[in-house]
Amino acid sequence: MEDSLLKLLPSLPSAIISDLLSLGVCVRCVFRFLNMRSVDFAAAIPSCYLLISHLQASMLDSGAQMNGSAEIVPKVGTDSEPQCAVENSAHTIDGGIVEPCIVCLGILQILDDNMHKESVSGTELQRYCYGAKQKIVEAAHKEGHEFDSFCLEVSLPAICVVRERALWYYLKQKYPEEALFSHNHETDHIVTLKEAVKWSLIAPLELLLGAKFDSNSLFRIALLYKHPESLAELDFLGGHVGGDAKRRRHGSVDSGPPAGLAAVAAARTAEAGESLTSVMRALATMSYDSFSRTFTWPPSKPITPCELATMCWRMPVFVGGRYLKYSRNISQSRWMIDDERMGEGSVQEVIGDVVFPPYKGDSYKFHAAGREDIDVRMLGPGRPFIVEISNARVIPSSAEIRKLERDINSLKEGWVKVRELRQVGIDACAIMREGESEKQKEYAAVVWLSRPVTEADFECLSSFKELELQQKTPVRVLHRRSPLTRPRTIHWMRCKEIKGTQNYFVLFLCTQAGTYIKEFVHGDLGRTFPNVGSILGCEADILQLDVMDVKMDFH
Amino acid sequence: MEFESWEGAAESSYKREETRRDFQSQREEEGVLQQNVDDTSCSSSTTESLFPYAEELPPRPPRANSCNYTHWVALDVGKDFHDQYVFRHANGLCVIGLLPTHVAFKPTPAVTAVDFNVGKQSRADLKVSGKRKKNAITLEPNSVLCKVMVGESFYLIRCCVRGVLLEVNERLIKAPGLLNTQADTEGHIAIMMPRPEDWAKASKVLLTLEQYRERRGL
Ligand SMILES: [Zn+2]
Repeated sequence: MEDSLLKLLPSLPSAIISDLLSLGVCVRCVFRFLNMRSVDFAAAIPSCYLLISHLQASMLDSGAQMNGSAEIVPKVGTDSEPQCAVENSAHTIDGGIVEPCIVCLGILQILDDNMHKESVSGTELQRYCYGAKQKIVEAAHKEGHEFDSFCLEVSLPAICVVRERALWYYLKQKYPEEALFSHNHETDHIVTLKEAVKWSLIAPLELLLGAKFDSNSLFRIALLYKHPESLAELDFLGGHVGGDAKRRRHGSVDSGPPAGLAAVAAARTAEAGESLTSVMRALATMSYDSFSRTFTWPPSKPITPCELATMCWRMPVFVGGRYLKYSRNISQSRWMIDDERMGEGSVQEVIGDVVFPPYKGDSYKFHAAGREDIDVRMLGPGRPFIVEISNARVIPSSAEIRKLERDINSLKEGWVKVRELRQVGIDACAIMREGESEKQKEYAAVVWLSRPVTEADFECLSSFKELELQQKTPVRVLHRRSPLTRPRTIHWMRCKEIKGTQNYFVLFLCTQAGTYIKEFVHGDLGRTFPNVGSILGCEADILQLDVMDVKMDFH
Repeated sequence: MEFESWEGAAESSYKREETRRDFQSQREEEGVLQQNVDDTSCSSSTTESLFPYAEELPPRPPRANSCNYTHWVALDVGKDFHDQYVFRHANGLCVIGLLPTHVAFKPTPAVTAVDFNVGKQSRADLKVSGKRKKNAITLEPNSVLCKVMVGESFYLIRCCVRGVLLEVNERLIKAPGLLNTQADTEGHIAIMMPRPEDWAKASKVLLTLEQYRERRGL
């Protein structure tokens, strides 16, 4: 037994401990109810036999020969099995499973694998009991996740908190003088089951997984404990639980289309969390009387322990950068009409095909700060984009990511290039979303006029500062967008001649995000007003358009 | 008013694109693009190479009005020489307006007013909203969109296609002269959204630009 625990023993209420043990409360739950926050839950916890024998010994030592000391030999027997020094190997029942604790339903007992030898009609039968730790390690490695930190998400059966309440009332009633149990409710006065699970698992898992625990880690290990046997017991809460009880009767929430393990696990964790929260909310307002009408204490012995499902996944990781598009026949995202590909490819695919595979994720999404039309090039410093990878198994180093950038930029076709490719945080998504609507965009348009271009035209256009347009939703998108007239600002315009031509020039312009440039040039049946034609008093058309800059602090 | 066909336009611009590609990759080899990639300003030295040389340019770009729409014609709508166009965008929307051969333009274009007060409520007062086009009304091919006035006489302009009326060109109320000068663009009458099945019906009745020229001897 741990020295620290041995030192504590003389100070512990031995009568209460042996009472709890004899009720079928596991040793860790005993510590929980005594609010023993200094005990190392992850260390080898003594079996109840060993604990009792030590308690007796320490009492004899200290000469505390009390009247009640004889009661410290409950049904559990004393040091009759001193070789069963560790909690887990105690009370085996058939199937090699520990007799489940009446409060945690085995959650704090079945932490390690155990080989049990049983004698069945003369032959030795070995049974294996899968502990939580081994299950987790197996799950974490099964899909090849590489990680150097992890976060535990524990979801517990709601019945456990009901059992805690029942045990609390039992203790209050039996030990009315005991200061430990003086509060009305156990809430905040015991070590919660979730805390105990984490304290019991984190340090050993750090060793077994060779990774650090970090509550912000993107690598998530979900422990989903369920206790189907006791689901009906929760119905006593009836109206208190409301929709939750209803959902339970209708079976679990449909996980929908296979959105990947992460989504399923998240949904199940949320579901379990919701159920636990609503039970806790119900208990918080439930009176002693109404609780006692529907539940008895001490809690009954469960037949089966909790079932544990473990799931591991990585929260989305983001790879950001800026892309350039030199083709007028490549769309930003894959564009299919009736299963027919439009254009020769997409920026999303060119980048995704290189960036996604090394992460070995389930899927990826491509986000960009706005988009240009298929026939518009993206030049200048490029357009910010983010590739969101769900459940990445591997996180490439920044050197490897730079290599991915080089790989994209050396593709034979060369229509798409990327810059500043790097891993970014989730905050980059927010910056990009905001920037999409707030920031300025610069364009270069090759404009044609129905009459020869003059120096006066250049002077006229460049004289405008903060020119406000009234722009009706362009006809080309009117079928799917709301019909509105939006004010849009052209911050400035500059012109450049194209030598050897009469009717063409290049118009550089900086506009408010959301301005439709093609429509500003050709007027869209006069639905964008003023437009280049109306300003210059002639017909204007646009030959080609390039995006020159998407201004955004995206680094 | 021009009615030249720009069917060839898409193709020719594609060819232009091809030449620009060779051009582009050539520049890239020269490291010109790379320089531009790192240069956030659009200073003339780097943009020089990005824009077409005179010899690459077509005499004029495809007209927005021609290359984005297929042009259809409804002759003698309701009455003789009430000639209207239906410009159908690739997205299915239809722009409705008057053809140069419309009787309102004879002998010379002299429209003096446009009146949208033809239904239970003025066509100009309909405020369609949202992606789902709330408050929009569905009109029949022979429903009247507006009255075009030439002095004391007026001509009824009809939808020519069954569909949802998305908007009418309110600028015509204050500037009816747009009909005289730019009937095919700023002087259009309305924008409609027919269902595919209604369009299928309408397109059987409507004429092509070629048929139109033949019929009117243009
Ligand atoms: Zn327990």
